[in-house]
Amino acid sequence: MRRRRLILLGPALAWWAVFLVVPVALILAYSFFERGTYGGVVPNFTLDNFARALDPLYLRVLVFSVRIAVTATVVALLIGYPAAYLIATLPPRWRTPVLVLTVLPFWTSLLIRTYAWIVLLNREGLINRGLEGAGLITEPLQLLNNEFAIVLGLVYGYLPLMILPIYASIERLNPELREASADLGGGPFRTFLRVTLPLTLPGIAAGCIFVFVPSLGNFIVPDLLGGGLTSMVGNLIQSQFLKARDWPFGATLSLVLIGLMGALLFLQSWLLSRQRREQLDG
Amino acid sequence: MADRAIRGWGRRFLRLELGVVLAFLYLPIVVVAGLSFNKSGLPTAWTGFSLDWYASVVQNESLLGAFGNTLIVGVATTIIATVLGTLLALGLERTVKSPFLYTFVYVPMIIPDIVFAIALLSFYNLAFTAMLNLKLGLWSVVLSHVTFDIAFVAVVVRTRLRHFDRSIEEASLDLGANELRTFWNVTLPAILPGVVAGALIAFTLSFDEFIIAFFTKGTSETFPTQVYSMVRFGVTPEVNAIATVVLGLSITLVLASQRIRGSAD
Amino acid sequence: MSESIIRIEGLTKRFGEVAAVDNVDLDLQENEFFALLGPSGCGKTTLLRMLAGFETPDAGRITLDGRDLVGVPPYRRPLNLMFQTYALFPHLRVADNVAYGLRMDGVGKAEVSRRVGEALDLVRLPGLERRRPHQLSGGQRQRVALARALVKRPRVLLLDEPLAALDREIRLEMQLELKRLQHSVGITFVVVTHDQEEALALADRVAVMRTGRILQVGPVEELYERPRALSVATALGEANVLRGVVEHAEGTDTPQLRGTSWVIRLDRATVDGLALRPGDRAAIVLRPERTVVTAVAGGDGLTGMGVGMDAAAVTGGPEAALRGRVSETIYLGGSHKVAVDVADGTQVVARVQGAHEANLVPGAQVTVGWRPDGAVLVVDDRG
Repeated sequence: MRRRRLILLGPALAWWAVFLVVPVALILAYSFFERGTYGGVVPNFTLDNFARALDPLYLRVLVFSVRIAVTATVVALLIGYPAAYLIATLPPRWRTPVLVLTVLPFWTSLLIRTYAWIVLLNREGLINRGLEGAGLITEPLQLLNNEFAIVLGLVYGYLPLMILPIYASIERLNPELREASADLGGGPFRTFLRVTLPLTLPGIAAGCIFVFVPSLGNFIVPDLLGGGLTSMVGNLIQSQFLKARDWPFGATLSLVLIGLMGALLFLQSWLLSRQRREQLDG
Repeated sequence: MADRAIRGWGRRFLRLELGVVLAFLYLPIVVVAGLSFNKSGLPTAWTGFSLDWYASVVQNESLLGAFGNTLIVGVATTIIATVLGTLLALGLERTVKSPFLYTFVYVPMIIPDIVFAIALLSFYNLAFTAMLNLKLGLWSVVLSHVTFDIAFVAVVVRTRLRHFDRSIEEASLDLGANELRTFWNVTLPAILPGVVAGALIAFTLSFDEFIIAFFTKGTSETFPTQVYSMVRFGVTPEVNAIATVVLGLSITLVLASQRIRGSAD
Repeated sequence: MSESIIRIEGLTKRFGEVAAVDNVDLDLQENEFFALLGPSGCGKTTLLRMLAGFETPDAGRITLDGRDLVGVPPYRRPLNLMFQTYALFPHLRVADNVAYGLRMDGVGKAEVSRRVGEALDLVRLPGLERRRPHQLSGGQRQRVALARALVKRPRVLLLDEPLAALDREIRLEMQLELKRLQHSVGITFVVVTHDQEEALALADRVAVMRTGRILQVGPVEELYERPRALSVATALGEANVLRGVVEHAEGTDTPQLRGTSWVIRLDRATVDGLALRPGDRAAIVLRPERTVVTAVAGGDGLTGMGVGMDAAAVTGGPEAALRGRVSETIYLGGSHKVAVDVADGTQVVARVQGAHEANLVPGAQVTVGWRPDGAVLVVDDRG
């Protein structure tokens, strides 16, 4: 039995020990070290990097990133919930195909899909031409290289990840609960507010995490659609690492990112377990 | 759960909304695909159907080289990750009851890829470049991709294992096959659809992966990194053709994976 | 007299604090159809799995032909198991399923082919070699599972609730099939079941199990006609039960059974045979087909004595006869089930032909008695 456990778990866990745990531990260490004169890392202990991270210059980037990620999450939720609801209430025959259709884009390259938005959004892009052609505008709109584009790109990239868990939690709902609410005098809107919404909260929470986390640390979308400035944390980390060659600082920023996300995940699981305790049944 | 609580124009609104969402999701894909066949290559005017841009892509040596690299990386990654991930899934499902391990499997899926990328680069730089004097290349990309792909394969195979009727393994033991032969003759064929589905996902993820490859590729180029450089310089019609090919490939692979998972029951 | 091929001695298996199988001794004989009967959770399946090799006992021995099986893995035991869910390999065709065990043993291609054909003929499924399990009906799948186990010519075939998953009609058909198979193959079949009808229909010998222990083992007729304990009596067939306490009739040595509102005199030899003493709880078991119900107005049609009972006890004075009122009658097609409420709230059910002619209708006042040898005294082991 012991040998079997070793054969089955050993290879993967060993791989992860070397290629996951060690590298992450390494950058954890780097965040406490100094930058060498020509790049690289000098193992002198310092807390300067963390102090620098709080500098308003960088803090602004962090705040901006959080703001963008939150916006993208909220938009994705507003768009995604109704879509998930409808899919969950389709006749069974249609459900899986439509679901697959909805999730399919997620599995294709984010890079390519983000690029596709450049085509649509730029000044000579399709959207502007369409609006001009329809006579709605006279000057092309600035749709690219701004906040709007980044949020759009992030929502586009991760919307399927919002829809999936919400769909799953709606599908699992006992229809009799809604019928009971109706029987007791709740109209459709009130039933939704008081029964459906609270009971699908776990799905909503999962969906929000699935959108927020990759949005916060995203590099590609702000890079391609945001005008190539170091607008978000992901871009900042990349530029520190590759352009400024300040590995310790890049590592520090990564830690801040992980810390933020860890706090969020913790919050979510705490909220969920509280809700689970309060619920009698599903 | 066909919902009768929502009627009339409530339902119509939902249908419309879903339609808009689907249109939103597929609009860029359709537009890019359309443009790739546009002779002029520009969204300004449709000058006729043409495969010129595809021809141009095929003649672009650096692109072809990058594509080949990505295939190599993809295949190597898939093989390693599928074997390790399947073993891991079996181990998790059959031998341990550790909630810690169960959650740990999700860590590679949750870590932001930029963080993962710099962590790996730091590690490679220290372990391989500084100590062993090795230059980074496709091999380091494979090592990186395997690391997160194991998690995806494990999750997919584990789902399949949960629905697995173990009595056929006992039947095999009863009929004279020992544990190893039982695994080979009965268990493996039964979980194969899950393993293949996991492998397809692993390949797709590796094929499309940009940021980690970008950091750990050394001087070689993978297809996504090559495309990234092209895109940074602006929209070129060739990229439209590339994009269409990549999207088509991914969609086919995912649908195939779905097919296999669905038909296995 | 058959030889015993499997000897189980002191077999015990614990799961945590609970003993699923508690110090069980059992002998299984050549060429017999044996049933392990008991409610779910009584340990019968655990016992079966220990025989097959999927559980290791905590104590005790299992010997097959004198050879100790404990520690021998399932693939090296000359026993085969037919699983409750059949466990057919979904990715293999019928022929390959049946051939699986033979291939594991390295049997040559030609012989494999021949024996697979024989096995499928034996279970009356010729021609289905190329089908896959999901294309078969429940009954067909079971036959394939049987063929797969039998093709290896095991010493003993173990069957886990073989008929539980089948529809009623198919079940009756398969009961006959299993009997036929056992006779024609001539090996020992051990069936584990919770269904007493199944045990009655299939088995030569039965062991009744409860909470890990064997209550009684013996030929099925013996267990039915002469159970020693109340649990055994109710495990096999329908039973009317009159529970009471053993005591001596006033001022004498004569034993009797006192219920809530009746007294029945008992035969000393029978009482001693069950090691019953004054104060012990005991019961009288009446099978419905042996129960006689007579309308009171028609006189005292009570006949006969029960085993160990005194005739006088059931005739004569009011404190000795069981009087009651018919509560309902159920038509079974050719006969009736007549349910009678007797004095202390107990209900007695009798199987009667011509109930209406005898005026046995709901509300009728009746007396209840039994045919000769129709009642059995048993130890009351129900809490």
